[in-house]
Amino acid sequence: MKVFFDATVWCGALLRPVGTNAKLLDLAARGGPLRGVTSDVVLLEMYRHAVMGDLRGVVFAPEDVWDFVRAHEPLLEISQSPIGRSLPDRTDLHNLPITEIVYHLTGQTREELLNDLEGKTTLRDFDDLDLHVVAAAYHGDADAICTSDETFFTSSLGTIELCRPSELAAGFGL
Amino acid sequence: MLALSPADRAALWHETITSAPDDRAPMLRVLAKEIQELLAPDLDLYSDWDEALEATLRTLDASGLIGRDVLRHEFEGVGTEDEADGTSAAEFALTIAGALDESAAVDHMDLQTRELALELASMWRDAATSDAVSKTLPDTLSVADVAAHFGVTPQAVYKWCEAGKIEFARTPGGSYRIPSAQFDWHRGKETESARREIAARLLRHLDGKDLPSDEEMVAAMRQARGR
Repeated sequence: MKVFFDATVWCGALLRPVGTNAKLLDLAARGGPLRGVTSDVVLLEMYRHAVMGDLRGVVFAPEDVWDFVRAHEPLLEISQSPIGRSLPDRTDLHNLPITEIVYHLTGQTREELLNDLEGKTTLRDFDDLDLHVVAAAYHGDADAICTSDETFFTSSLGTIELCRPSELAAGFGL
Repeated sequence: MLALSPADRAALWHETITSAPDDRAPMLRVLAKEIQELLAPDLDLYSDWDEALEATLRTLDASGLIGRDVLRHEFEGVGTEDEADGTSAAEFALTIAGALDESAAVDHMDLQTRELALELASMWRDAATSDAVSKTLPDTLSVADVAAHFGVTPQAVYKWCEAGKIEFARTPGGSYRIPSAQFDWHRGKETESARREIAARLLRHLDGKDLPSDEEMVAAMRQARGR
């Protein structure tokens, strides 16, 4: 099973580095039954939240965040581009709004992302901030998106399932 | 010292976890000694493990996870003749490792105990990793081999089998054999120690901080994303 992990899973793992989200990322970084995929945009989003204190005032050092990402490097090998390893150096992107980061990293506008995915989902339901997650999940051939963000669960994603971290962890006996 | 029967082991575990606070420490020491007697021949847990065994039980007691039925059940089943229902020494060790991992995730435990729990979990996994698997990958693996490699409990691996997440076969005696070819066995192995190291570093960084729940975190993220 291949699962796309969004920024809520990554941020949850940073906040509780031996908790459920972290266990999922750890298992997905190994070559077992749970395969993981993520995207550069998700990683940059996680980085921004973590270092800017968005997580209810908990602030992380940039080097800790990138070390955490690098320690899960197998997850980056199947992301939508090989930029994962050089993200820490892309300081020009670190403070941009998500929509601009999406454009910089994928070269695609919202309309172009939607056109690529035409007929696969009711993607027009998604706002700019969530669309890149769905697009990257399709691009990475994911079977499911794992997220703690309940707003996803109100939409249809076509062939891609949605699962909460606790549900996915329970399914794998974690 | 003669090894206890399975029924006596179950009774000892029960007596220990229900003992009065004043009797707790000596009871934990007795239980640690019995676990050592039981596992030492298979896992090489000799004198250098004395302190680790006692620390393991103290940690599980502090987190409350020593009360888990699966621990008592596996302790009772180690080395029994029944191939299908018995527990191998390695499986019991890995169940202990899983409970220690869970102890490390308990927010109210002090940092030192949580770090110790992680360290002990790693020791138990190393002890349960068979030499054969660490040298060359055999065609089929035991449940313990798979659990040790992926850092999960034997119960998780049984779940993967029964849920069809991995292929397996059962021997005439009922034990599980898991083909190794279905795994990308070496993937992520080189970054395993880095994951352990950064997890410990983040735990230290977060110690004493008021952490948001998942719901609070998501709400904060959505609010920040809009800026």
